Amino acid sequence: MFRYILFRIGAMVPTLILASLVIFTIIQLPPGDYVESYIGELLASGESVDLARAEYLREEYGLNEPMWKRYLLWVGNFITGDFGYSFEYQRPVSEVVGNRLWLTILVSFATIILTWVIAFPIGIYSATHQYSWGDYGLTFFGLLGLATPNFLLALVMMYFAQTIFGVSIGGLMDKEFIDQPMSWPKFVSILEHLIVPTVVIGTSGTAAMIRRIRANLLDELQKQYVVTARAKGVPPFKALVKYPLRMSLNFFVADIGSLLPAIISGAEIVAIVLSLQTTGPLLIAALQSQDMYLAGSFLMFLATLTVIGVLLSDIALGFLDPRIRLQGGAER
Amino acid sequence: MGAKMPPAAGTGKATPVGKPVSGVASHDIIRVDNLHVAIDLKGTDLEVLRGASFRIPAGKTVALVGESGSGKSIMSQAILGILPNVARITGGSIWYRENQTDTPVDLASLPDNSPERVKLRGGKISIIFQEPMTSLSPLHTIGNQIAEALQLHRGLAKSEAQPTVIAMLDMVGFPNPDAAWSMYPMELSGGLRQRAMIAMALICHPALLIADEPTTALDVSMQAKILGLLNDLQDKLGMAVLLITHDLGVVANMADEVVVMYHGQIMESGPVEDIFNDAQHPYLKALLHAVPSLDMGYDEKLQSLRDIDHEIPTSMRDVVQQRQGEAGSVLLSVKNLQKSFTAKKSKGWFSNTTSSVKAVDNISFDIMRGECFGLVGESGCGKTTTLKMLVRALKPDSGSVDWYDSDGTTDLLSLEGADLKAMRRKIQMVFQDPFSSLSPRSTVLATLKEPMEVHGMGSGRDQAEYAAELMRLVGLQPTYLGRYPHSFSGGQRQRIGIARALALRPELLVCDEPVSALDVSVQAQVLNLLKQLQTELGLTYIFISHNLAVIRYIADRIGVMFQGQMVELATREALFENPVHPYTRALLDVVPHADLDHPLDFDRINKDMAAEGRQWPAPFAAELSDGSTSEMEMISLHKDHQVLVRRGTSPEDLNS
Repeated sequence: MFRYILFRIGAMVPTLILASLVIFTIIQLPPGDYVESYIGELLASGESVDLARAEYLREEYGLNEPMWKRYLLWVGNFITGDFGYSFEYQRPVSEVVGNRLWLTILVSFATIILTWVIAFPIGIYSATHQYSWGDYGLTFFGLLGLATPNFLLALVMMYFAQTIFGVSIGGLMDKEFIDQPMSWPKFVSILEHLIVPTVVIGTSGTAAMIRRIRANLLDELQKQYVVTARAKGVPPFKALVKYPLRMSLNFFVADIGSLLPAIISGAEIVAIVLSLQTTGPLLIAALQSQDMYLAGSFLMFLATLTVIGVLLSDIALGFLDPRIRLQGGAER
Repeated sequence: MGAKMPPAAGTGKATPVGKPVSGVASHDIIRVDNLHVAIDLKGTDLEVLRGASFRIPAGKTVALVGESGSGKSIMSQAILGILPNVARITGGSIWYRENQTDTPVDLASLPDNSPERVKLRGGKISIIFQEPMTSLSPLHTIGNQIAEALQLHRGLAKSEAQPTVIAMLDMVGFPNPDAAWSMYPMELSGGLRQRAMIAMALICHPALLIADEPTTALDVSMQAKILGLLNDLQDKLGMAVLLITHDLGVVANMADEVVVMYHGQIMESGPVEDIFNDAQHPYLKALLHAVPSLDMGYDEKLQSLRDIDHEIPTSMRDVVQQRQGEAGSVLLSVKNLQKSFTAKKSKGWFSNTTSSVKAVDNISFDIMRGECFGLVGESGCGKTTTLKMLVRALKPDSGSVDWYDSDGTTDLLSLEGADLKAMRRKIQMVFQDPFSSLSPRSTVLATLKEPMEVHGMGSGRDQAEYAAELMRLVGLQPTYLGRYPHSFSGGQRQRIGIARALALRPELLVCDEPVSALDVSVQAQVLNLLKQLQTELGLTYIFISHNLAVIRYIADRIGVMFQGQMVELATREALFENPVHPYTRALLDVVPHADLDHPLDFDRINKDMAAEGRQWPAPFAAELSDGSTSEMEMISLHKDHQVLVRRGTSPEDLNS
């Protein structure tokens, strides 16, 4: 097991190098660079452009260097914790992202908790009452949730909130609290604003999770060892939780790895529609304006989190399931 | 609950019940009275138990016999209160009384999850299942799962339960019970898992143990050991046993009373002597004749419960005559075949150790044209590995396999590309599990056509016509071609598997335990079909089985394998009449006979068979007690009777 973990950590290095190459290539793909689109923007708004300053900027950020040199520079800085400088915000990337990070994590966590709280009881009910009216009804709503695009749901909810209740549900807090220090009224305001994004972002995830819990649990419920447990005199609820439910959780644990990047990326499109101050819209804007360090560092950050998340999932699976822990390595 | 227990079971009209055993001064722990159970099939009820009545006397073994679908398992589930959701008791009662003085309780009137029934389950009534591989949870340790019963029924903490559990594991024959406490089921062999299951069932000293086909999934020697264990534990703990089985050999060795079930009704019941010596009901008589046994004549034919008619298509007839002319010459010659597997075992956090196991150890044999060559041995002895090398599914480490036909000699192991593909047409396989060996997503037509398509035989229309002929060949309606495998029974599926193997008109059919997953009632049917097809189509078979009676019924010559070696090779008559190798003798000793005068010697069996290798007399042991080792070789006793002995042993030495 220990060797396995060491090996997996070692295998992360080439994966990340490959990811950084792909990310770097992609953000370099559009013609031009940030300075060019910056100049274009200035010209479009009718301002005069100081070519000397443009050249200075290019020099400063190494934009005139050859491709491989820029790549090495970027990766080198990344390793030492310097995520670069955002052209657009004129601030270090770590600061730009950092400001929005905790709100993003808040929204994501609220969403994940909501998903689990709703999906688990419903999924278990559907599996243990297969083909009952309850199962059919919940399945219907689940499929509905699965089929509705999140951003559409966001627009619909915004419309109804505005026309029926007369409240604006955009943002994550009332306008007067933005950039204010934390206080009780601000906290309450955030909680109020959290409800709609959480529901909107969580809907499809909840629906998908219900279906998966139901399917996995149904497979396990038919297994012989469940009958063994009942025949041993284990009370029905404990017989469900200790054996088939525990067994059906493998998929869920395997999923936790992919949650890590999802927490940080902050549901981009819904965040734009609801104008949430999370990292999602930041990433999109950075890609549009070719704010190379911001976009690149952000994507690289997500890639790293993905790899770490998958590793954590695999280790957790190894601890939870003796078959995975003990079976590896047999060969013919 | 308040109702009075009926004076005797069997007051139901359609259920003639035998007289109670005389001279047994005990009460009945279970008395099933006119029990009806129905299964809800999309709104309509299907009665699976139709007024069944029988009794289980305290401390005795009652065998419940019948083919699959007769309602045996439903009966055990009804007694335990673990019926599947779709099934429910629609009438009758199950009277339970632990001690003579207790008031009987009608279990049928209590809901499955009522506290009374939950308390009985695992505490007073427990069960072991057929399939030891799946009946334990893979995620929990053996100790955890066994201790759970003690925690539930005795209110012990897990740590308090540990000594009791380890003592029980010792009792059921775990070699190292302390280590077994924290082991997972996947680390144990099938036999040990079944022992763990038995330990779990008996940990609370139940008054009744239901054993639902406890040995069907195990090979003969393991079966004998588990039966011996059950006998032994019954003596020690004084429980009653309800033994559900279709093996009449097991019944003869274990049961005090026998209950025969057919279509949800009790056909016949009574003491085991009456049932065996004087079977009344035609169904039981038929069942007794449908099971191959070691006591039947060599040319006696099994009477299958439901015979099938099949016809040989004209297109096959001419090949047959040509083949029959060549019968008796060598078709396939295997020389010095070897195969080792390396297993990597993770021992700790840092180190990996590898161990190498000789799965097939230097075996040689010839297969004659037109014969059925049988391979027997315990599971893990290398039978299947040998087969896989013959069909080129595994690469041997060394050795040769030569194929002889009119074109001369072909070295099977060196064939590649088009030559290999052409050779594959001549050797086809029939598999053990009729459920997983057919694709559930292909119709029978697609399944039968696939090999023809792969080998480009004829046009699509020809193939479809030929598929219809194949169906008739195995006694199935060609109109079934459009159906999917799930609409067929196990026996029918196995016949489809045989039809698929015959689609390419092979010369050699390799059968890997083709009947061991089938019910007794269809086992005879499939065996008879295979036998008929062999003579009618002039086929050559290699037939693997762990069931000696099946091998004896179908094979002409038999090889006995033990730990990768061929220890004895002889004609059927020579092997069964005059077994020479001690392993063959031991194997024959552990087969339960359906004959009361021929009981198993459980004391002898409980010694571990694998360990007996070292106790074998000098000519058969590679390593003697003084530490001297010797090369082993096959010597001929007569024509067609060879045995593995130390180099330099002469046949005369073995006669003394």
